[in-house]
Amino acid sequence: MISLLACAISLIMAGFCILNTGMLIVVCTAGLHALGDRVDTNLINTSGAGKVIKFLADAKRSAFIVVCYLLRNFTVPITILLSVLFLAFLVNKGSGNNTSQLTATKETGGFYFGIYNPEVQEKNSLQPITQWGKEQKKNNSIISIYLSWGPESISDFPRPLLNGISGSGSIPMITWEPWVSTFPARSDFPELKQEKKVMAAIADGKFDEYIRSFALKIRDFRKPVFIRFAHEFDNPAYPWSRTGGNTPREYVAAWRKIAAVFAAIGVNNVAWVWNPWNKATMREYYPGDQYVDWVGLTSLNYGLASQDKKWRSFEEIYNPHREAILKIGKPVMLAEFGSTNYGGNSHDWILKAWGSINEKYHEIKSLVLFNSNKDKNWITAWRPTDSTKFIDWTAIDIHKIFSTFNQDNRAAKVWEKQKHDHVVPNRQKSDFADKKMHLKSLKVEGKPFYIKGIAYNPGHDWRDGYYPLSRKRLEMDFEAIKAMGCNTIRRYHPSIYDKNIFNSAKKNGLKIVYGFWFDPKVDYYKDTSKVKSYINDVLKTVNKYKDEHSILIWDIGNETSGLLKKHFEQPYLHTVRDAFMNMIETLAQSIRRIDPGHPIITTLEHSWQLPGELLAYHEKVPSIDFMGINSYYEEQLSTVNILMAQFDSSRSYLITEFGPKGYWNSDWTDMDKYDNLVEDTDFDKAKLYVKQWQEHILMNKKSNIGGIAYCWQDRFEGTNTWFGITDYKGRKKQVYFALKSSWINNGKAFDSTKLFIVGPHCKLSPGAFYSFIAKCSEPKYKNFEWLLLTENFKEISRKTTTENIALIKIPVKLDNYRLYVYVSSENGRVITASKSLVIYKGIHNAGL
Amino acid sequence: MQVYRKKVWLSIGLLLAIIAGIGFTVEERMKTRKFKGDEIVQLVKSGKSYLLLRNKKPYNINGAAVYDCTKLKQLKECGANSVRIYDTKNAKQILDSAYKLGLTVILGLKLGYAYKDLDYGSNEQVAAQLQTVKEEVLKYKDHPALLMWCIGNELSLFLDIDITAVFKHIRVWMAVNDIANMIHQVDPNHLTTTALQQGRNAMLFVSIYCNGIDVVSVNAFDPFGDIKKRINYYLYNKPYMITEFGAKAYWLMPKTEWFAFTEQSSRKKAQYIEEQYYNIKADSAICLGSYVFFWGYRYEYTPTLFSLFTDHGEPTECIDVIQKMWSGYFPLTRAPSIHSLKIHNKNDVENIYLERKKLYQATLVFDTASFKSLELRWEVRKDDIEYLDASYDSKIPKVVASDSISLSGIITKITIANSGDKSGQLEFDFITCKERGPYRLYIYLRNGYDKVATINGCFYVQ
Repeated sequence: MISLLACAISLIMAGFCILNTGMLIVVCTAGLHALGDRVDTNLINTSGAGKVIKFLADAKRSAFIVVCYLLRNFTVPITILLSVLFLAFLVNKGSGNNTSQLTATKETGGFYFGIYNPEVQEKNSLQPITQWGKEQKKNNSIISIYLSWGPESISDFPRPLLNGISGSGSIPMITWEPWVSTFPARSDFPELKQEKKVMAAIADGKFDEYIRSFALKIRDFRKPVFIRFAHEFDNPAYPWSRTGGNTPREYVAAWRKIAAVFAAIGVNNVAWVWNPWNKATMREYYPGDQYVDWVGLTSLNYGLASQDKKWRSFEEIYNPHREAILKIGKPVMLAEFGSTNYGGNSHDWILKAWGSINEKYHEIKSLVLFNSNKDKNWITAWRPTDSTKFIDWTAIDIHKIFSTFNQDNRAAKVWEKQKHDHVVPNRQKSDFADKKMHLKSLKVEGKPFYIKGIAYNPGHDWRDGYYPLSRKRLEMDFEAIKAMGCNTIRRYHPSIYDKNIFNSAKKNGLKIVYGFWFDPKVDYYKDTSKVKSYINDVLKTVNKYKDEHSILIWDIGNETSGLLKKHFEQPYLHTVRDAFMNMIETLAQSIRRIDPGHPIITTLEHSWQLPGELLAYHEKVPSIDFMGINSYYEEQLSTVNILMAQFDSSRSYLITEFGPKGYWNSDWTDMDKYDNLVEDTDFDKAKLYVKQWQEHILMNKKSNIGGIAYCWQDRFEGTNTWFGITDYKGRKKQVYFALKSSWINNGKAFDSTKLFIVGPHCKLSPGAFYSFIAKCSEPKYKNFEWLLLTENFKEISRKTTTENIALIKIPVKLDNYRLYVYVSSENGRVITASKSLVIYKGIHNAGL
Repeated sequence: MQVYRKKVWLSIGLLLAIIAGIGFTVEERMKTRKFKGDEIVQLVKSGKSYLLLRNKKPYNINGAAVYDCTKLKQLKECGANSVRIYDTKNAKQILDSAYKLGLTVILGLKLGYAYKDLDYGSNEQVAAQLQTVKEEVLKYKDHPALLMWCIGNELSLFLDIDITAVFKHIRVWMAVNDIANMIHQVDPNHLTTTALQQGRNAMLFVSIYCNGIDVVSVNAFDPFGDIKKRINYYLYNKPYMITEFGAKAYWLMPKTEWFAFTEQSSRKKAQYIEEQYYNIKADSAICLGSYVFFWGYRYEYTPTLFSLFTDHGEPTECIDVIQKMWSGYFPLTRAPSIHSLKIHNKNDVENIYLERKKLYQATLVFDTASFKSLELRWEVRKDDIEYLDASYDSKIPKVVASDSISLSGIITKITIANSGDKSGQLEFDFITCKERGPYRLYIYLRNGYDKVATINGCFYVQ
């Protein structure tokens, strides 16, 4: 009976189903009607497809009307269907909202326990906390101190205390509070005496001198240090908040200013802790990913001493901030962590909090116990007893707390002695470098040699395409390279093509900067076996090729020490970097032993942190002969000479990469209103190569050994056409002739054709056709190849036209796209241009 | 075999019955409202034509769409008899001042947009909306200036035309119908209408689902001939009126290679508005009147496109022509008029490409009744509108360069071709930005009577 009933029900359901499907099909065909409306506005050429669709749409008009009548009489099933659809929509939407998902943070090296005890600073000694003995010593990776701004922070800089802290194996954290009334009065900023407008004054450069002096103190300390500047900048209790007339914008500018001043004098040992207070406004105050290492948070339970006299668990304090903090994606430090005994038991509070941190809050990588019984900052008038002066955060059994912490093996062991053997830095000079010039110039077979180089990238990795590097291809390329006046090519790591490359280079009289690449994801501090195998591989290769005629220089490491910052967080980054530099120094000395005949360089990236890197290499990697620097943007390349003189004056440098503007710094690269890259025209790029070569490389010939232009062939980086001197088919771009003119023709004019793509300057309707025009100032170019790729370089479509106009179908799938055009002439020249395409996602304006 | 045939006949019969049934319900659905004869505003149908009666006298609407009452006096002086407002925010004030001036008001009852403000699939939300609307109706229903209730404006704006959207459309129009019927119960004295986009879909839906709507309103920007065809096809059994008409909308204008739609000069706009007006008027058998759009300043696509007044509040030359069409005569003092704008010797439809950070010349040909004092104001704005976007949420692009040149003392700068026809040519220079992209140069030419001619030109900086 029941089965019969079920059967009947399922039959009825099936009937409904068929009915609905049928209706949907009819409505679907009627939908063509709407398509007809859309197409004739978007399709430039309505003669063909547009008219057919329009005709169809007209024919369907009556069908559409019938459907509407039908629908009116099936209101009930429609309502059911609608509500089902709506429910499905709700369910879908609900599941997408999952805040517990963790934003991946970089490797911190472990968990950092820390402690703040006011007596440490009062007595200027570690004695107050060392009394806790072994348990503490094993654990404390941070010891927190507070420093106010002012002349005293320079004259009485607590260097001995810092030394003591680092000597005990811990890292100091300086909470650096911008109290500025102790500075001499300023007539241009009189408010500063009232602790007002401090952020604006910092951003304006009024404290540069002080910041620089302080930064020098930090730099000279040389060990890692956390700096927590202007904590709780959004807490009205502090004058560096809005209370003192400071705006979020000024705060961000001040933070960036300080970071810039530190970076400019080469400070490389600071972990910046950005400590918000108010979850609602914190985002406005965020200075940016590159300026912040840790997010600090105060999590103190005042209990009865709080505003509403409520005892709060750690979860209650932390959870409200969590969503905003997770969005930032940085490791979290509970920079002031603790509980009173007012209304509960602080001991239990801490242990319970520790339990949930371990269990749930994996973004928290550090906590600093606020172990003070001298806190005067009562929030309310409430006091446990009339005579109580201070808030007591110390009523805990610290031994027990630490032994609980100690059971956890997540603790960062950064204070432990480095596991690998230390190489004693001992510079070994070699014969090829001019000793009188003190490693200032390069000689080949006794003659001065100035590098005019090209980074020869084909066959390296997926970004360089999968084109096989045949012998014929090599010959052709090297001939062309030689013909442009180039004398050196740069390779980044060993490959199966090496033998052929050596032969072709020798035949064409080209020298090779032979590179080795090391992965920036490797933990050079812990992964000693990887380090060993790197050293083995390099030495083996050097041994094999050291007698090759065309080898000019060994280049160990390309940008690796800089790129480590993408995978490791300060202060662990500092440790991993040290280990990496140690490997480079070891390598340099070992290569020198087996091959004293070739100079050794390593390559750094030119970022705003270059001074710090140069300083570190100057101290820790003395056996490198020349410093290689990849420098993009005129704003940066123009400073290399000064920076080298300032931070690593003992050696000369090689610009191991220069080229068009980079694609990574939006201050200097044009972006459109959707934040997509705007590529310079080929002509502008060509002019930039020449200018950089002439004005920033050749002009400084006395202190460098040349420059290497990046790169020979278009690669999938930035855009598909961003970096190449030739395109993917090996056709020469304007840059080729521009470099040629400055390398052999002494700046003779080169092809000045300008090309850019014009098309809709707005979001595009998915599936529609739009016309794009390749605006080319030179009419002799007759061949236009169009290529549509996603921004991840997946090909969507391509076509070739003889006119400069192309009708492009916009993909339906939501993604970021870029349209390329290659305009070529018969003599093997090409000019390229690109334009990003953005798909419109919303409801179309029905007026159209 | 016979059984099979029988089945065929049976199903054909069934189908016919269904169609007949549908036809019957539709017929029922489309019956129009009957008037008792003592309502303040009523509709009289004779044959195929309709007549709007107010206080039992025929009433032909000449009106304008406004947001506030700052320019109502000017409106009355130009010869209008009615205004349209979009919501009840300042309704009391506007109704009162309209009444003082002898103008009637179509009061907009603002409804939520489907899939933006309100879920029409939820009975509670729809009922709550009806309740709020009812309160508003009760509040204003006895105002002497009131003419009609306009239930929502372009309600299908955020509804795409695809499979699922058909259901959404129906929910929306049924909700409108419920409100219309509610109004008839509480206020039989005034008519109900709803303002539609000019496309055919909304007209069709309203014809079928909204028998409570007395008059269908259409916002018309395409040439009226095209809209009239759609009205003939899709609107059944109802009179209509045009609740918005104005300058030629951007989507009808020629566009540049980078998809910037060019814009009519105020001279061309005036001509277009006049042409539209007389075409609408020619259909007065079923068309009850029209409202010009927009009597004031409003940013849509550009700051000047539909604005009959500038952002500084000065009347443009369109106002003169509107006065002529409503009252039959031009004002005594006329606005200047711009014939053409050339940038770097090109009209903007020819695609003007300029280089960055360079000096270029713009040339203006104009005529004006008054040379006494002539002031040219120009500004260059970025021109990167998302034209596909229906939300009208976009912010006005920022001004990147601007200047104001007073020409009162330096008429020498103007070459007067012939003092008889009072036309002149005027040149000025501007420097392009360093940022690549599309821009638009806006020109405001003001004469001594504080009347303004506008024109703009698009160009691309590479």
